[in-house]
Amino acid sequence: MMKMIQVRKKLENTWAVDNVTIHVAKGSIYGLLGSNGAGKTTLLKIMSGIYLQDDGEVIFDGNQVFENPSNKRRIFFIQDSPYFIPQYTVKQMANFYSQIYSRWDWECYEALIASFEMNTNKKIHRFSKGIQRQAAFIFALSAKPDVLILDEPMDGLDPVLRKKIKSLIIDEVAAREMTVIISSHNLREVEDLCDTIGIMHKGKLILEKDIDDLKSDTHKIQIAFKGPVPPVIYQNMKVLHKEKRGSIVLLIAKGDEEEISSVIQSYQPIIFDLLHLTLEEIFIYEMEDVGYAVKNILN
Amino acid sequence: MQSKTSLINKEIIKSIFRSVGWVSILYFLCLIFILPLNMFILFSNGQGQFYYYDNLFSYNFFYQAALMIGIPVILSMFLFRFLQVKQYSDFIHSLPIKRTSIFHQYTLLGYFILITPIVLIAGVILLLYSPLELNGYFPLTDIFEWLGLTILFNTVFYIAGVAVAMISGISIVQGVLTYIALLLPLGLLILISYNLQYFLFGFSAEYILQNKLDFISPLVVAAQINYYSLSTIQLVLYIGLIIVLYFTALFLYKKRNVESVSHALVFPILKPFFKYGVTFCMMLLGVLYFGEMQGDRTWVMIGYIFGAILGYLIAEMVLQKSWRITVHLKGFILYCAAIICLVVLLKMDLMFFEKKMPAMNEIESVHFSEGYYGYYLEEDQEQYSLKERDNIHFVQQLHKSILNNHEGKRLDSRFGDSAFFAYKLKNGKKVVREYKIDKKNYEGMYKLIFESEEYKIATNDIFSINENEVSKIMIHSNSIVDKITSINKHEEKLEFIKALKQDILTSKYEDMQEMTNPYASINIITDKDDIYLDWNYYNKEVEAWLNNHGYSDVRLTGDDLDYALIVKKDAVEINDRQSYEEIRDTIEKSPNKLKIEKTSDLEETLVKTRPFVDGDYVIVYYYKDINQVEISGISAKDAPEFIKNNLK
Repeated sequence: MMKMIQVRKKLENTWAVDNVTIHVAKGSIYGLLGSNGAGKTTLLKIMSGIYLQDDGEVIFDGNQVFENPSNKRRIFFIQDSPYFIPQYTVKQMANFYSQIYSRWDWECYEALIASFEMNTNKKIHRFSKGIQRQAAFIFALSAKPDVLILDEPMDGLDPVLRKKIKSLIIDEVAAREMTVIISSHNLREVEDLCDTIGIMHKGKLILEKDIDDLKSDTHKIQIAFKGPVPPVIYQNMKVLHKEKRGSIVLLIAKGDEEEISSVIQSYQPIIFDLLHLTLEEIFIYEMEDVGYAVKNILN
Repeated sequence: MQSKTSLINKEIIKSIFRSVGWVSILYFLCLIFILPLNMFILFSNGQGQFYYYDNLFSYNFFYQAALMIGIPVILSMFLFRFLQVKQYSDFIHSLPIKRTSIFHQYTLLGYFILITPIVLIAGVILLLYSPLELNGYFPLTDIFEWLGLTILFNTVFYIAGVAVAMISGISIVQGVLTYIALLLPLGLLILISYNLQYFLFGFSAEYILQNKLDFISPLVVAAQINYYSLSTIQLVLYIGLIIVLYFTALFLYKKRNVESVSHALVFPILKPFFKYGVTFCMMLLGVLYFGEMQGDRTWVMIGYIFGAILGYLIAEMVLQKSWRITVHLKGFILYCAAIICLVVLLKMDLMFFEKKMPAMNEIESVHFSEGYYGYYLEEDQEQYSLKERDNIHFVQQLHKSILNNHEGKRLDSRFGDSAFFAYKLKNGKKVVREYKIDKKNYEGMYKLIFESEEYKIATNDIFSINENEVSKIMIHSNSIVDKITSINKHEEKLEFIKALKQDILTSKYEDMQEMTNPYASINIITDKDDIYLDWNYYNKEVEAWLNNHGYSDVRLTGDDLDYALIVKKDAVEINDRQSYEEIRDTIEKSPNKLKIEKTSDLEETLVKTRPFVDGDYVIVYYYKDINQVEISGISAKDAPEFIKNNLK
């Protein structure tokens, strides 16, 4: 659906985006994580066709995005602090978008306005930051894009609104297979929303994972045997981390849950626990070598 | 569906109107006050016939010009705000509209907003034309001329603003750069011409700059459009410029990187051009300031160094957007090296500019004068030139000896005299040179040229008038004592003119160079124009004729004076900024003064009087019956014996 192939972009003499290859499948929600200055915003602006990459390709539905209105019409980008035409009211802005985005849906717009109880005759720049962001969401969803690109969308929203917007996004993805690319500097903010996570650090994409795979694959195992641990049990798993606390062995390992437990059970352990890890824990263990980037995202 | 995002988008157009529509309204209101309302007030109560004007620009031209120069650039700055504000820029460029389409819509609609008020005002004047009976004041075609020219210059400035918007990422920089770009062609020409004078011996900046080159800077033309007449070629060039700028702007916009917003210059390739361009211009400007102020070589060098450093720093400040900058010394050193090479090349004079001197057999005629202004004073007036071989030879000899003499190696304001040569060659070419010299060193040659009959006839208007067309000759005493007389009889007029011509033809170079006050001024009025001459002490024929015909009392004589006080100039502290009364008081208090009361002494002094700043003695003349004084001077060489003997 949305592909970036070896994309590079130089800003002010540094590679803000350096050889990034991303593939976002249709109907998925892709979370782009990274600390400030990692290159997330630049990447999203390239994806939205605002910036032109210096190298590589950005392909949406088989065509490039930059200067291609028929593709850009199906992509909607919300900036980290949403921007509206100066002095425009919500109503005027809606009229504006309705002329620009051919799939604009007035019914959807009215419904969203009602649900957020928004005053459409007020100038948008007089609203608080939070309400401005709601307005941006209303416009974005009413434009019925195939790809919604959100730069730090949860910043400055209270928990109730976050939840509301997340559910709106999920509904839209479920209803018409909209693709969402969302950036954040905080994993917890998006882990319940995304199905794929990419982590950027200094312009490079250092990790890209499917969350479901990660969650079902990685386990925290606590075992204890009467004698020493039989080495055979390690054959079916990839150990990421190993710790010994007295006779109890703590393992963080990847592998098929059923296979692992059947092998261990056959050696009759005294203690055997297999737990699911939180996403946060998975990342900590997965990324011990690139520690800095991850720690910042998890904080 | 597809058509919604085609070339014209209703909502985009609405948004443009909402953001810059006010400019149109403002322009319209200002023009209403400047033109139609002003006309209404002037002409509705019949006062208009006293109002002088050439064209519609004559009405409050200052304000018209200010708007014509200001409004289009301001409009272009507001219109393209979306290129200079980061979030706005990201917003617009995230929309599914091609840049070409954005550019055409913004630029063309902006243009429509700009010219609508002008067209409306022309319409209002047309409507007022017959009710106010404006045909008595100006022809109908004037309205269309005004409309056309106003639109033309607005368009040039607007398109220039649009084009600069594409290369700049800051609105203020956009505005300033637009005006710089509009002034640059002429400004650079002026700066380079003046600077070449310091390097090319004989180069005449004034001559180069007078060749009607104003039009290369449209801003300069617009500021004088109330009397400037634009030729068809210039008109076509401006229209061509508009078209070229439009497509250049489009090209640049398509190449522009959105992320460069808020950079002074968005194309990195332009930065060195800007940096060294500013440095170069400031360097030339520095010379103009210090060189013209002080004139000698040290100050010229200081001007170069100071100007270059200042320019380099300013450019760095603009590019780094801060006054606390890190200076890249390497760039500056390279610049200096390049400039030194350029100067060396110039001094090598590869074109033989300095040594070039046309051979006698190539020269058709030569114009020689004491300064450029004599040459091009009136553009439609045929300039005098010397054709006699002897005179051409003398002029060439003078030119050669200036070249051989190192005294005037540079244009230096210490030498007050100027020698201007313009050779017209047989092959149609011209060789023009100007030198600053000290005339005293070339007196012999000057004498030969100035005393030649051809030169005298060429430079004195009296030889070109038709004596029968002279309607009146007036002679005026030229002093506080107002004496005036006129010669009206036809016979007398002819005789007087004959005497004047006689005097001119026999006058000596030394006399012509004298600075003494004339006895009286002569004004010869013909049907075509007036000629002004002086009656000087050496005009013996004129004096004799006036005496014989009873007109001589028109000049100031000893009888008109009560007495005079005279002091040595260095004995008192006076200067030419003081009023006559202050100088008089100083001299009256001075202990070493001489009082002259004898009519014959006064008479003798009067003849040799010159402006007081010019003399070694300062004289206060006291008039009979008039409570006013005249302060004059007299030089030591002219001073009568009784002054020299009494004031030592």
